[in-house]
Amino acid sequence: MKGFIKILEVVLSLLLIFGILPFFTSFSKSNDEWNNALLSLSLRDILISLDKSGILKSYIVSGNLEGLKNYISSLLPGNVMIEIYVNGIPKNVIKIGCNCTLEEKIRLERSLGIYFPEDYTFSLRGKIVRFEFLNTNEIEKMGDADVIIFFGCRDLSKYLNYLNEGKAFIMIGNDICEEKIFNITLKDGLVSSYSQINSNSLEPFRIGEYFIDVPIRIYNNSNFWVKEMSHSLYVCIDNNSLPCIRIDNLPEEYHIGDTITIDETRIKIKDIDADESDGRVFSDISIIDRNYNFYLPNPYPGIEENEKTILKTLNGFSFAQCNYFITQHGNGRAVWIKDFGEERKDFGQLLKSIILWASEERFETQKQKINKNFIEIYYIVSGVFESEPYLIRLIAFYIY
Amino acid sequence: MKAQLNIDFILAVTLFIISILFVSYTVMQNAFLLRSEIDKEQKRLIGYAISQLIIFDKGYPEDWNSLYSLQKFGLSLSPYILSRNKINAINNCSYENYNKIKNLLSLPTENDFLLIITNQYDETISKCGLEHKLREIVWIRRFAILDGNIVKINLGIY
Repeated sequence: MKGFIKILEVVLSLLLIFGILPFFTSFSKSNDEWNNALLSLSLRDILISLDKSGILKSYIVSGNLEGLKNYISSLLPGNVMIEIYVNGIPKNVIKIGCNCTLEEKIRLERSLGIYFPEDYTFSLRGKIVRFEFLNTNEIEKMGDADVIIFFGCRDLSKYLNYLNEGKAFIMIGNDICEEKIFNITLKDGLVSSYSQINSNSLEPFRIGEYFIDVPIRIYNNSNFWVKEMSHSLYVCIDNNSLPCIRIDNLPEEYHIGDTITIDETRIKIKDIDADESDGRVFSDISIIDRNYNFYLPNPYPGIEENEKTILKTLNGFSFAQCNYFITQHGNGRAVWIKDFGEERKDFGQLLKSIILWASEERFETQKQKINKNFIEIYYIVSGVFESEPYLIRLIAFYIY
Repeated sequence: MKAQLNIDFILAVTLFIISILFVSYTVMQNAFLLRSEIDKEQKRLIGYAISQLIIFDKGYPEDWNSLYSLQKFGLSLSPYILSRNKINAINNCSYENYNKIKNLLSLPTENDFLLIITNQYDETISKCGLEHKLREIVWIRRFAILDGNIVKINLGIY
């Protein structure tokens, strides 16, 4: 019995002694942390240097993320692996599935300023973006689409896998349905006819950033809207043989780059094509005021404003709602917007910016197995003139 | 019973002595490692501070292109953009010039540095410093731009 107690004492002592040992063996961990800290410093240096030298932008704009990964890897030791993710870039080609009748498809195209095949392409922040409509109107066959658009209500319960795949739904209409997906709630009360882009919440704010940059095409002798009034646009050639436009038959001539103020709203002229040889004479213009007032004469029913409201009235109602992080994996975007009518080019400009936001690229390099002890770097490239803001997430780890 | 007690006692004492020896050995070894680790950390901190000067500081005078006139060390034109003139001025520095830079950096006497700036393909663009074969070196690697191209700044501290 006495021997047993002594052995028990020894075992307890050993347990105590070996329990203390980990405190003496923490140096290898400290070394790992130093290695990771130095790697993190190197990666941040590389991203800043690439950004300042313009190399980063050229890779991102061309969508060549594998090239960027190889470039960064060539600067790092051979035992470091990296993964790159980029958020916040509109795609160069946006595939649109229109789950609609032929008449509705034409309405949608007119809203977006599309009258000729060339109008599917437009310039945004120094790069060319193209809308590509899928050759089907059946939602079941829209697996390739980035954005699926429809007028009025649809039962989307069978198509929730599309959200998981990162696609977006855009519903245009005044009916209320699929409230959860589109984040809409009915609200009683008198709805104001004027609404503005919500700048108090990040994603609506980002849609607003697209709105002031995206052009809408107005053909010669046709109308565009500013608030509740429509105005006519005429393409002309001035005395110096430069293309110009005139508004509402007034004598003033405006040129590319000019900003016109109509009804306290600033409108920028981004392009003018006065060449009649191809039968297309037009001007690309943009409303560039963030606090532009969208007018809707009969804004019923009333939808309650919340943090995901894109267009909000002064009395707490919404004309357009967005939703994001819909699925459990954080994918999927959805937008509901009231039907303003295809003649409303201000609405068309907003719809274009909503499509850009909804289809935004979530670039990532080819995935490989990531080591448990990885480091994560975030680098934000803030938007400057003719360039867009985007976020780079870089994951790095030692393979041995 | 008596014999049984003795065996228990001998076993317990043996185990206890082995544990004491093991702990003493571990503590001694770690004390040595700790000293070495502290030394490395100091070198890393010095290296990091110097690398910050290289990347962010223009030096004084701001447009210096000769070590003769240099009063404050720094190799940049603006943050992350290095000056070709300054890089050339320190290339293949003499022992005297090395000491001048070391003095401007207030580097402790017992420490030395080795600065090697290379391009993306590890071809040396500029080199300045001392090499010691027997002393342990700690490397800090930074990146910056020189003439529109990314360059590696390898700074070793002895």
